Amino acid sequence: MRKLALDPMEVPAVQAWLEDWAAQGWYVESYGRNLVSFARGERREHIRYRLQPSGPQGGEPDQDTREAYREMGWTYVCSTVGSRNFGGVRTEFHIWRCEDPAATELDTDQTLREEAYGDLLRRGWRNIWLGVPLAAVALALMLWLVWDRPRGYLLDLRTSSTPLMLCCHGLLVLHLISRSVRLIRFTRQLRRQEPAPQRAPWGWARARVWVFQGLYALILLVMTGSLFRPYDSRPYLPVSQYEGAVPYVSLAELGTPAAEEAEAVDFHSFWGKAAWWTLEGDYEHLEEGGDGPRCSAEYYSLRFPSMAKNLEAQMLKRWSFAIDIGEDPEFRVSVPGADSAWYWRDELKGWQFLLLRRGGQVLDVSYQGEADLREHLDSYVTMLERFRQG
Amino acid sequence: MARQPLKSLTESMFYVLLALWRQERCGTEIAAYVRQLTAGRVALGPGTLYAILGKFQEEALIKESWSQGRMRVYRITDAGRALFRQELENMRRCVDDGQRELGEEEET
Repeated sequence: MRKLALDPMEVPAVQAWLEDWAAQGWYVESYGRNLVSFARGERREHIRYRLQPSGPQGGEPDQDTREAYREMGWTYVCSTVGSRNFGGVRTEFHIWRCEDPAATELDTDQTLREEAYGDLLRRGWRNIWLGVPLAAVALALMLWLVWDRPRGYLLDLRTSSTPLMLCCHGLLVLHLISRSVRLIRFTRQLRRQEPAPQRAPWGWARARVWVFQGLYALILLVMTGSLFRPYDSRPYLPVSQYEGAVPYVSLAELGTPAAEEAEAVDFHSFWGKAAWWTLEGDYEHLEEGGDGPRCSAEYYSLRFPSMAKNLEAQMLKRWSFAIDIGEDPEFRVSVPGADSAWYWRDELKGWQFLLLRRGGQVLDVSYQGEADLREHLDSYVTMLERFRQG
Repeated sequence: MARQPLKSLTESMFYVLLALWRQERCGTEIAAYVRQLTAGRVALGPGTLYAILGKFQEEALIKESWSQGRMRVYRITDAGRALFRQELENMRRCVDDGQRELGEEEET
């Protein structure tokens, strides 16, 4: 039988966990970083398990030590894996088992027991000194990405998994810190010569393991996913190849049909429920000029209307490379059914730009052709309404 | 960080040195002797006992005198005797101070 490994730093909880399994006839055989193997045996009460720090070298106890301990009633079981590298496995704790209720406890001197934790404690403090600034940076970055609208990072990251990764990494750093804090508390108890408990409830320790293993799995999944579906290597596909409807207003609906079918790409995003980019018309000869018709649209359905507002503001800033649009009401248009709408026409090149926001939805349209987008605002609002309802 | 030399003894350390004061003993004999001497008040678990023996060997307070198979027998060194005497003297002073204070309290 294999189980998710409890964090060995939670010494009393792990000891109680192993003893409870032994009482049910399951005996620990190996204790890896993630999994613990149990072997079936007889159900036996009064079996004690004790964890002993393996010291800075982090190996396994030698045969003489094992023999000496056995003479006093304690059998070596295995060692917990702290880390793996090219040099092999670095262990964190030795696990000893005692079946004789009359045998003396493994460690009977609190001062020496505390000293034995010295190396782990140093590593714990190091994790805290490194981890606290890292967690703070991750948190600050998250807040910055979400709230700092003028810099436009939301615009760049709206289709990426970066915020999710940041969030997960921040939580994992907090996990490292919290396990160090638990160890420090435990050793302080030893230092104060308070009776250190040999057993503690392990329900929360198990819950924490599930949460953090889940986070690790999520990070792995996102990283693997991004390998197969990187942000900028997705192909545009003809809209007919998508099973569901694609959120766009076709050139045909604008009265200027294109020779070729529109193409679209959808993104999966931490921020949004949906994100689509569509292209229709002659974009291959865009550089050579020509009057179109051609139309590109970016559609986002974000989780919160406030995020849509941020995105709208950033998109307006993107327009401002060409014109100083700012908050100029000249470019604002009133569209029933939309929370806000912006329209701008580049008379020189014949391009029209439309930006619509409705709830958490944002639609950014660039069009070159003979139609006047202002006459088709209803079509856009209807499309937004249809996709808001899913 | 340089290792600090041992300056004082814990109770377990004190009894380990005491166990070796008169004769050489192996680990289990030390544990049995201490348990018997203190009528079970001081118990030495294997984790504690072998940590102390290892530390004492590093500090040259004891030496391994001989071994047979896996059994190792230890003897106390002059440095060990000196540290034990010093510890005993400190404890004697503590006891004297305590008794003097208690004596004065009882007189008043």
